Order: sequence, then structure tokens, then C-alpha cells
Amino acid sequence: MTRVMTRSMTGSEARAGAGLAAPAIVYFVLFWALPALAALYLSFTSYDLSGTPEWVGLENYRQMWANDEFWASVRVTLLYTVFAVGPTIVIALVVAVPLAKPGRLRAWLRGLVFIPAVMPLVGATVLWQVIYSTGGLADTLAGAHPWLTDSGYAIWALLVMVIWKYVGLYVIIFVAGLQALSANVFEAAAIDGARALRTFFLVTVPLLRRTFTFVIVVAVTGAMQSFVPAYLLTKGGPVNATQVLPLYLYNNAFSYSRFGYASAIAIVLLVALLVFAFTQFKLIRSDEE
Amino acid sequence: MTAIPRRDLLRGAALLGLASPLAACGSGGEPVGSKEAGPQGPVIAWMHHEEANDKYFNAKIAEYQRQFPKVTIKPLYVPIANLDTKLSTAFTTGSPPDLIKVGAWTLAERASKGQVAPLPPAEFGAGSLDELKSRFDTNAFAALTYKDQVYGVPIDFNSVHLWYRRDRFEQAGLDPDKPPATWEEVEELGRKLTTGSQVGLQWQLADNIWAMLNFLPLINGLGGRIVDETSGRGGLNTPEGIQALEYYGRQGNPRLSDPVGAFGLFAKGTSAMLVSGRFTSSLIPALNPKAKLGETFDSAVVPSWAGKEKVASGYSWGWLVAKKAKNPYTAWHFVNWLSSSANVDQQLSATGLVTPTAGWQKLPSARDKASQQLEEQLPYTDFGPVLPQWTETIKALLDALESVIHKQRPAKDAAAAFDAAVARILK
Repeated sequence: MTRVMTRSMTGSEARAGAGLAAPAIVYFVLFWALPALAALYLSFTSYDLSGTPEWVGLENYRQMWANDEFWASVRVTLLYTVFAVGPTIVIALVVAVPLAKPGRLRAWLRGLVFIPAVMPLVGATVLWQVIYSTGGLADTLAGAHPWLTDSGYAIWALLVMVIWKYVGLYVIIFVAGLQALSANVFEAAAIDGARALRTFFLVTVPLLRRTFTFVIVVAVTGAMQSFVPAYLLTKGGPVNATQVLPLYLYNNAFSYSRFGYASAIAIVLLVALLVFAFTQFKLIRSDEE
Repeated sequence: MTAIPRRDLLRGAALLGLASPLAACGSGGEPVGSKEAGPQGPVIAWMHHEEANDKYFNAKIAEYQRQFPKVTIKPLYVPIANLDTKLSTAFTTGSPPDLIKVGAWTLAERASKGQVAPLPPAEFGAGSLDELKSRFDTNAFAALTYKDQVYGVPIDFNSVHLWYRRDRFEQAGLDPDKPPATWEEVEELGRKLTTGSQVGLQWQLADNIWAMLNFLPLINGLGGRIVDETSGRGGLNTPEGIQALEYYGRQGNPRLSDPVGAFGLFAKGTSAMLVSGRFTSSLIPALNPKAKLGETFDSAVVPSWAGKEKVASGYSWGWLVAKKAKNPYTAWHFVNWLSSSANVDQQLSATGLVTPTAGWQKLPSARDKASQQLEEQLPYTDFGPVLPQWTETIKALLDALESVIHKQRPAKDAAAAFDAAVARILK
């Protein structure tokens, strides 16, 4: 077996391998590598979509470093990421545990929980605008507050909508993870006299480690790149209180035609996401080893 | 697995290589209009989607094509929020539509990038630009002029008015036939009209163009400017700018919320006054069928400061033709046809959009009060700064206005921040 694995490939095998890999390589080069390299190049230029990009070196990065609006946007993004991901995962797990058990009613409830996730975001946003409007449902349930028109409330109002929208998706992922766990482990825990809460924290949660990792990586990268909810619900306002980094990037690129500066923001965001993803995967690997 | 002969592979690749140029050739060769040949061929026209407008323009396109059967107008109605982005992409890739209807505030950016063609008087049968201008109302081309060059034909031409709720005035013991004529009166009446969650004047917040339209009469009426376009300096950190900012910050309640902003609050009667365009006469009944123009709400000319000159703010949309248009002659021909007296009248009646041709205010559909007020205000209407960096500059204005009205910054600090932002943007 070892002999077979280590023998060198014949010319025809190598060509076949290259041919099979070609579509993936072409796709990666055309749609990932080239745009990323183009963005990296543009980040060192001044470009407004007309004429030729003008080389400005590190000027865009210097501007970004000195720009209060950029740093305000970074703070909003971090707040948004932490408070969108944390509560979403906790709520999703709490909801998923009872729903993972078999039964027709539970299957029906799983479908129900998933509805917001499949709703078009535009429609969902209009719904939440009505809920948050003066005299709307939010005022009726929680008292009159300037949900979308006060900087102190707007980010939380946005987060509530985002959690509502995406929690169903993570419920389904956790349900799948829970259903894949072996029943023997839980039976053994029950025989040992472990109560429900103890079983949950000492058996269920550790066994769901891989599901957690997947959910955290997907949720954090999704939240850090999130643009549409803030764009639709608050347009980044009031007074930029909900201007997440991708929205700041979008405004610079498509509203102000500052593509060089916007590319620099994109590169910073990309680097931050890569660092996060590598750290995450490194932790998983060391855990597995 | 059967091996594919190398010859077949090469043949396939060659065919694939040929396919693209052949496909490109397929779309060429269409006839285009000229003075000699007359209007003909396809014209691709992009405009923003609005139900009443779409219906009207579709009907007009059909009518035009019956009159000029060699022409095919291909309209694309784009959601308003996506129009500029879609246009920018089309211009960048070198395949813009022939004809576009855009907000005039974006003209400077497009013109500075050489994306749009200057208005050709000859295509309108005019001997000169002045002759063409004489066919339109005073000030009609002001918003469509960049560096002394006119680029388009106005449509949806508006000057803002003061809209007020007659019912709210009556409830507060005020005479609904005497709307405030000065900004000082607006504030005074606003205090009387503020009870509980109801307010007097409510600005349209969180929107660039409305930030400018609401604020411009205040600062310009005091003798200031938002931006001095010649020097490239912001004009808020001046006595006039700060006074205007402070006044702006005292009106209304920024914490009130509605899915359609200040329009919705006015339609419900939550606010008693609104600074808005002529379209408000049809928008408010659409939002609240109980609101009737002349009974529930009404319009007045935009107020001025006591003892100061009158200043109104205005905006216009315009028909522009791309510099790289494939069929510019026919595109301008269609615009000229749309600007005929009969079409202007039908357009105003069907959509509420004004094309300010000379004498438009005497047309049967322009007998309403708002149209007459618009005509009265036109000579002193200012369309705001004409800058390639308009969007970024006015976003900085919006930030300044919001920080003041939300009490996050004193007017002086917000003014200084705006002027610093303008210095950076226009550097």
C-alpha cells in the first residue's frame, strides 16, 4: 500500500489530475485571487472609476488611520459582531436542545423557527421598521422609545432584528449536530445519575465542539461582513451609530467613488477576518491533537 | 474512460474562442438616428422605478414608437437606491445606456468624469443654447449646468414649499389660512403646535438630499453658504452657519420615527409642518387616504427670515445622454418630443412631475396652488452646491445636522467638524 502511495505519478496521471483540478483553479484565480490582488493594488491608488488609478502609496492607509469615522465604524462593527454572534448562538442552542428530539410537533416547530431565516431581508426590514416606528409594536410592548432615531437605541434595535433573522439558521445547524450525537453517551450519563443541566454542560456542549466551531466561524465572519441589515434598517444612522465597516466601505466606494480608499478598508477587513479564521482553526487543531 | 483525442480538444477550444467575438458581432450593426436619416434604431433608457412614472413613460414610449416606427425605446426602471451604483458600473465598463434620467445633484460627478454629453441645441432644432433655454422657464437649467456647460433637459423640477396641516392649526386655535411666512413664525407656531408626541415642524432626517433641501433656505437666507465652491471651503463655521444650525436643532423631535420618515409623520398629523416638494400633494393622500389637500393639509411658499431676502431650495432631475451613447441623436429626439407642451401637461397630470417649459404654469394641469407657488419661487430658488464630491459633502452636512438635532454636539463644534470635513473632501 505504502509503495503504491509513494510511487511517482505517470505523465498521463499528472495531466488528468491537472485537467480535473483546472476548473477549480480557474474559478479560484478568476473570482478570488485576481479580484483580491486588484483590490490590493487599488488600495495603493486614488481611483474614482474614471481614467487610470493613480499610485498614492500608503496614503489611503494613512487617511484611514487618521479618520475618526473609520475608527467609529470599527467600534460599531466589533460591538455588532460580539452582540450579534453571542446571543444568537446561546439562543439557538437553548432552542435547539428540546427541538432536536424526535416528534412531529418538534419537526413542525423546527420549521417555524426557520421562517425568519428564509424571509427576504428587504421584507423583514420593512416589517421591523413598522415595529420600531413611533406608536408601533415595540412601543406597545416595551414602552415608547426612539428605537431607530437615537444613537443609544439604534444599534440594539438593529441587533434584535439581526438575531431574530438568523437565530433559526443556527438552530437548524445545532439540531443537526445534536441529532448526530450518539444516544449511548446520554444513556450512560443518565445511568451515572447526571441531571439534565449537568448532562448539558458536561456532555452535550463538549460533544458539540465541532458544531460550535463551525457556527462561530460562520457567524463571526458573517457578522463582520454584514452590510444589508444596517443599510436597509438605519442607513448607518443616526449620526453613524450603526455604520458598520462594510457599510462605511460601501459608502466610500459607491456613494463617494473613492475606490482606492474603499479597497484599503476591504484589505484591512480581509486581514482581520483571515487572522480570526487562522486563530480559530489553529485552536481547533491544537485541541484535536 | 474514453480518451479525448488532442485534435478534438483543440477544435473545441478554437470554437469556444470564436464564440465570444461572434456573439459580440451579433449585437452590432443596428441603425442609428441622424439629422439626415431621422430618428431610428434602439435607444436604451434607464430611470428610477416609480409606479406612476413607469406607467406614464411606457404609454409615452408606445405613442412615440407609433409616430416613429423605426425607433425602439428600451426602458429599464431601476430601484432608486440602486440607480447611481448601476450607472457607475455601466459607465466604468464602457457600456452605458443611451439615455438616463438622474438627479441633477449627481451631474457634476458624471460631467467631471466625462461620462455625459453636453446638450446639443441643434438636435432640438435651436440655433443656439440661449434659444433652447428660452423655450424653458427661468432657472430651468441651473441645476443641470456644470462649469458653464449645460448637460441635460430638466424633468421633475421642484422648489420646496412649506406644507402644513390645516386640521392641526385649527386644533391649536391658529388660522389655517395664515401659514407662517417667516422662520421666526415657524418656530413660534411650532411651540403652540407641540403637545405630547405632536410637534410643529419636522425635518426630513437621515437623507442627504433632504438634509440639503431643508437646511439651504436657512443658511442662504441669512446670507451664508453651505460650501463656497470657488474656494472649496465649508461655510458652516460662520455666524450665519451656526445660527442656521442652532435653529435647525431647535425644531421638531428627531426621536419620532416612521417607515417613510417625516412624510409619514406629516401624513398622520404627528407633525404639523413639513418642508417638501410639489409631489407632497399626491404623496400625503397616498400615505393617509383621510388627508385631503386643501382641507386637511395645504401648502405655502417656503418661509424666509424676517427682513431678509427670500431663498428657496430646489432640486431637479434631468434627461442626460451618455457621451458613449450609441444612438445620441434619437435619444435627444425622444427627450425633445417628451418636452412638447401636450406631453408636459399629460406628464404633470399623470405623475406630478414638472418639465419647466416656458408657460408650463398656464397648462390645464398646473392650476393647483403648489404649481403656482413653485412658479413664484423659481426666481429665488437655489439648487445647492454643484460639486463632483456632492454626495460626500452633503453626507458631512447630514452628520453635522444630525449631531446638532440629536444634541450630541453644540452647533459651533458641528460647524467646525463640517468645515474640516469639507476641507478634506475638496482637497
